[in-house]
Amino acid sequence: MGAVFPRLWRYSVALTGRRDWADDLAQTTCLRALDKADQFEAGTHLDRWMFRMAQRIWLNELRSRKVRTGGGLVPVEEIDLPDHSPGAETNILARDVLNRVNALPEAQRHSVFLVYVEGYSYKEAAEIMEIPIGTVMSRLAAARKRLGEEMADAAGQMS
Amino acid sequence: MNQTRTYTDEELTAFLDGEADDALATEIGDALETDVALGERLATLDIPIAALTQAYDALLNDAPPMPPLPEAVPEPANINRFGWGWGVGTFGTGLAAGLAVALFTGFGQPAPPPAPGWAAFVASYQSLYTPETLASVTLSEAERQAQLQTVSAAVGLDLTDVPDAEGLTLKRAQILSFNGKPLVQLAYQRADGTPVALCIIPAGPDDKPVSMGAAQGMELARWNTPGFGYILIGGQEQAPLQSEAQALQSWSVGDTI
Repeated sequence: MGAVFPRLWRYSVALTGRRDWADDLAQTTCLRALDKADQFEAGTHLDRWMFRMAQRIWLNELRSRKVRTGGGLVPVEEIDLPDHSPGAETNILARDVLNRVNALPEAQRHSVFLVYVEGYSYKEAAEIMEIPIGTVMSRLAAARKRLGEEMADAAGQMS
Repeated sequence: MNQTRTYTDEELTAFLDGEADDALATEIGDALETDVALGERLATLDIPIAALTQAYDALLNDAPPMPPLPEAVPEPANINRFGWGWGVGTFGTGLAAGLAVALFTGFGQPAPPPAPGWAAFVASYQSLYTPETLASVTLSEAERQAQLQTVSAAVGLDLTDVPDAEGLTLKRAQILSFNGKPLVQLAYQRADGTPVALCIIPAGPDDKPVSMGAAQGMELARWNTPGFGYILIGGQEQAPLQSEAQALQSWSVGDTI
């Protein structure tokens, strides 16, 4: 579980859109996984099992509580990236894309993360999110369309 | 010319993602050779995935250390050291006791001792340990003896002279429960920080020599003495665990004969 934790936390950032909420979600998920350890089937993928659990906890439990205490909306904030690496150009693009993805509707953001960042197939992502494959596809298409248009507009304004 | 049929955004997305079936992929591939508008649509759906992956990979470096889970660090103060501000004082400690017990009780089917599943559960539990989990724990000689006496009494085996074999340092001795039987966990740490646990549970009368295996990505050694099953687990290297297991097995045989 320790090996999966950094990725679980990162998925929690993608789910919640916020680092501090990701801390809570990742920890809650670990506790829940411990509680449900008997349900994990040996030989299956621990990461997918925990991701599915994180997704359920977020949508069914934490999200409403956070939204309530957070004033009614899931805020979208810019996620700062660690500033260690050189290569300003690529970092600017990376930061820009990350913040645009973070501003996507939640369902689209989750799909984008699982397929494009984690590299899961549509089928695997569908199983983690417990939705039909067709829904994964339509969310990705909508996300691609919105991001493509936004970035084209941004490029147009700069030139 | 050669205006092709209109593809949906979903179809084009699947094509870009390599998820279109062969027929569709071939069809779109062919159409792209003549249909300029299609190429433009595809371009608008193209997003810089490499940059996105790079951004999220950078985020991995920011992941906090895995929080010490329930029974691993019982004090809220220690949890806060890792910056987990979330209700740990009340929820965390309350749950700690509950989960530590829950993990080792009521799981799986009732089984003759030792339950076939106990190695799996010990492994699941041990996989939660990181070098940080036990780093701040230091046992005084008095505490060590007190803990060892408690677990010895609970399991019915004298563990008070269990050695710090092969450079292992005992960090904590505690009694848990698995399928209604007492389960001793001796949490050790190697000099390099690797957490290693010796677990002991009442078992059948047969002697079994050390056998090596693996579980949850960790090396595992198990053996039996009359009345007790032993598992030593931790780390990814077989050699050190094997020599630690041999040393502890020798001690366990001497102790129970």
